[in-house]
Amino acid sequence: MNGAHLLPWVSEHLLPTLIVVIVAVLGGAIAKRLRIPGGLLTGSLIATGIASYLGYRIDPPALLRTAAIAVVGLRLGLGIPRGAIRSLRRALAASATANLGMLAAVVVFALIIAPRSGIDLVTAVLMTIPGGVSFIAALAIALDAEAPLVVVTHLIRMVVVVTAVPLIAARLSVRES
Amino acid sequence: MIVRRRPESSARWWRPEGARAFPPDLRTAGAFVWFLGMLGALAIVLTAGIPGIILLAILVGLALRGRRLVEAEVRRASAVALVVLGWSIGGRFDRDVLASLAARSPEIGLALFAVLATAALMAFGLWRWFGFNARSAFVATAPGGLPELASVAEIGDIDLTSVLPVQMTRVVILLVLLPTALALLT
Repeated sequence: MNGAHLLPWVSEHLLPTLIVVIVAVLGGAIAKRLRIPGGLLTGSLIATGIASYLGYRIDPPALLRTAAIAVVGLRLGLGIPRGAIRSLRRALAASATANLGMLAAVVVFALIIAPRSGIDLVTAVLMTIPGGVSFIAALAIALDAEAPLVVVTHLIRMVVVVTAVPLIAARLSVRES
Repeated sequence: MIVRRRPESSARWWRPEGARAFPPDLRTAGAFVWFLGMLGALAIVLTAGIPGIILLAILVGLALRGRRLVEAEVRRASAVALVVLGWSIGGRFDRDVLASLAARSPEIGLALFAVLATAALMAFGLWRWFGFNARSAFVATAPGGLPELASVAEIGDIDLTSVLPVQMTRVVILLVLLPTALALLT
């Protein structure tokens, strides 16, 4: 009797959720293996994006999402090497000027673009901030910004930077020598 | 009175030739701004919900650095966390979202242009006024992930001692100040 009651729940909820979880894990694993920028995040995003487009649109539980955000934060904190903050004194003037200048410029850009494009200000700021994709993705979810728009922008940026920086650096190297 | 001076080479090993440091009073001001930032961060942690959680987690991570067991466990957990984040975002993709992304491709292009152009401008500044060579300045301000850029710097025979402080400053500024600032905006 109980089994008969469970059957619709299994087919309507458990099975689709399991399918999406498997798709997400497989997508992440494949992207990591192929060394696609952002690996696990990008792969699971693309795989679940396709699943969602095909009708398997299931969000992870809110508690799991919050835990994931906390773990990403923890990882980011652990990732800062010991002595790094002390080492920031190195070339402090250059570092502070370049980074604060860059951040100010992109925030001003976001302030200009947001009201004209109908994108909310937080989304516009997150689209233009030059940070790591996982950190920005976690913030976009946490702040309820337009996460797909933010993450797609940063994934394109990562691909452009990872592809173009070595080429341009090599060109500058030739010119300098 | 005996005045001991550090040898020029040991005092300047970390700075590219020609780079200038802030004078001491500006360093004190910087430390004060840093202290205010930490106080603000603490206030946000206590009041801001999920953005506070990420900031608190970053600060806990900073405190736990060097504990190998914790680092290994968090590394494993973060693989799951990244898949969950990917799923959280991928799960939002449907026809409407894809149509909206297509419609917003000009804004995406503009945002990319803004970030890359600003980075190039700052690289020019580092080269022109802070004594960086062009390659190091370019890699130092490139808006990519730190591990990727560090490996590019190694491959391209670029001065890591000038690239990494600039990249690290950005990471620290973003990790500590951005959640605070955005939580205030919302």
